[in-house]
Amino acid sequence: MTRRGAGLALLACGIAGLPFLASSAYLLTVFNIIGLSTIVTLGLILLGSSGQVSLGQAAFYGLGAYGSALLSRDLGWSPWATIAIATAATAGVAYLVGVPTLRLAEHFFVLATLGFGIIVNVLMVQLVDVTGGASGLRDIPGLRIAGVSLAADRAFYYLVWGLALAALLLAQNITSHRTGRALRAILGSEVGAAALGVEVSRYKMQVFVASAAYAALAGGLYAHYIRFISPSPFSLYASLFFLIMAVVGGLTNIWGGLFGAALITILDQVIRAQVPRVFPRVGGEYQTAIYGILLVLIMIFFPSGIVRGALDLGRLLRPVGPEPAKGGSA
Amino acid sequence: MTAPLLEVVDLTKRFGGVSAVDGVSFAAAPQEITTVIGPNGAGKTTLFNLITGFVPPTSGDVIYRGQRITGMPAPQVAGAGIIRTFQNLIIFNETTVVENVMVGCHRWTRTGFIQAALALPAAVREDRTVRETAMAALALVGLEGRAHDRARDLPFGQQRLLEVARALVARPSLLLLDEPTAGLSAQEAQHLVALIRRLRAEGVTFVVIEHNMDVVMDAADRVIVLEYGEKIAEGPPQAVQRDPRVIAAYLGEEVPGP
Repeated sequence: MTRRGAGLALLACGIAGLPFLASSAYLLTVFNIIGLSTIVTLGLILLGSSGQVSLGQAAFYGLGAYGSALLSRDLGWSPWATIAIATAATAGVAYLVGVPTLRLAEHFFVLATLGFGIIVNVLMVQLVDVTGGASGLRDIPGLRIAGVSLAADRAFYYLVWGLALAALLLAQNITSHRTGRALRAILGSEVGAAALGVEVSRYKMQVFVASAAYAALAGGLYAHYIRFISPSPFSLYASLFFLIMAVVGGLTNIWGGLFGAALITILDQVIRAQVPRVFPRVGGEYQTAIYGILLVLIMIFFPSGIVRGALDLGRLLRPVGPEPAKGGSA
Repeated sequence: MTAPLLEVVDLTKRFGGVSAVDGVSFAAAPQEITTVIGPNGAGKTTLFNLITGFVPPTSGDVIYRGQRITGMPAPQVAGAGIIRTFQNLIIFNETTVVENVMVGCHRWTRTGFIQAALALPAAVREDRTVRETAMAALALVGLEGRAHDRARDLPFGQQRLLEVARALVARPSLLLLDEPTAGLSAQEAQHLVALIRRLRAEGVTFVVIEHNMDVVMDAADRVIVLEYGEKIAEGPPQAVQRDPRVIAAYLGEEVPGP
């Protein structure tokens, strides 16, 4: 408990100090994107702790972004209020999506979320009168506190990371109490959980709605940070991206969410910058191939995520371990 | 006579044309230990699945504390105080032994999603109680030394005891144990029977599926014998043991005339 608290305090200090070490606008933008991705990924990891996987998180991310952007831009409401409203409304949408789909077996649920994500993305493109279609929405109001703009990268950095840390703390609390035990029991065996009185469908719904709210919150922040949104960052590809972050971090490991989001965002930047230099004539599909390979390698060698995998590896390599190495760390 | 805690009335389950459970009726009085015996495939586990809401019956009723609970979803049945274990064991493999048991406390704890997220004092307090309860139950079955090991690393017999400990902390009124001594050493089995007796004295009612006849003779107040889904005998253990239909069911022979 105290060790966990110390870890969180250390992380908070590191995050607070980072802009003083790396203060270029480019790096701050990357950090901000990592912060937003962390929030989405934490939602996926909460969902994963009950054994569920979603390929529709980008749609929730997008609903938060579009909802908040439209309400604040066209009705003139405060972006703070519209982020909250869009988050709550997206949670409501997730509830409606969950009613028919959560009773499906795992892999069918994944397909249902995938289908939902595609539908939402198509609507963003096609409902031109509302969403601006493929050319998107411009002139989204920025966030302000007491008249001071948070549009600058550094100010936004503290906002998004403050919220990311809060999201991390909440997720950690959820997983370390009765709710988290129930979720892990569901992951272990739905029958076993039900036999002990765990209302399996209710818990699956709660955590699905929470994961959507996490994504929508990040989406709302994104819209008022970039101040321009279009359908492309909310496509299936983005959902896959978030899922890779969660899997890299370890689908049930809260700290892994932060790690996965950071690693994959940085990797994305490196790939974007370096691949054209090495292979001058290739297009963006090579990036997709690289992520595909990465995902396969991780699933083979680190099925519980890089963080857990590295810890296990460290334990195996240590000459005098407290316990003998056990076969199969799946 | 006191009102029965559990009444099973003409309970039937057909899968296609096969009757897995066929018109079975019995009642369990409070603090009684009823054992259910019968050859493999007699419908014993299906009977448990019907009582606990995992499988809806084709016809018939399950009555608990005078209330009809037929077809109630499994989590609600458990919530009402009917807890079961599984013949093939259902252990939450990836979590620790103590956390497995802590899940057993779900029924009588109250922390919800929001209280947990905010780590409200009530949630933290409840967590402490749950952990202490779980440790005490592990000590009761002799597993306290393995509390922090991963549950999947326990040998089969200890996993069986873990499942019993997890059922105990649920504070059941009615405990349905599906072959609780399978995979246990003679000593562990004896220990478990003593534990069952002790819990009975504390007010728990038991229905136990059991193959080990020593355990049945030793622990049961009443024995129910199933064959091909039907109840073929019921009574005190010694009487049932002498029942020619029961002997035939086990030996697969025709019952000789008297």
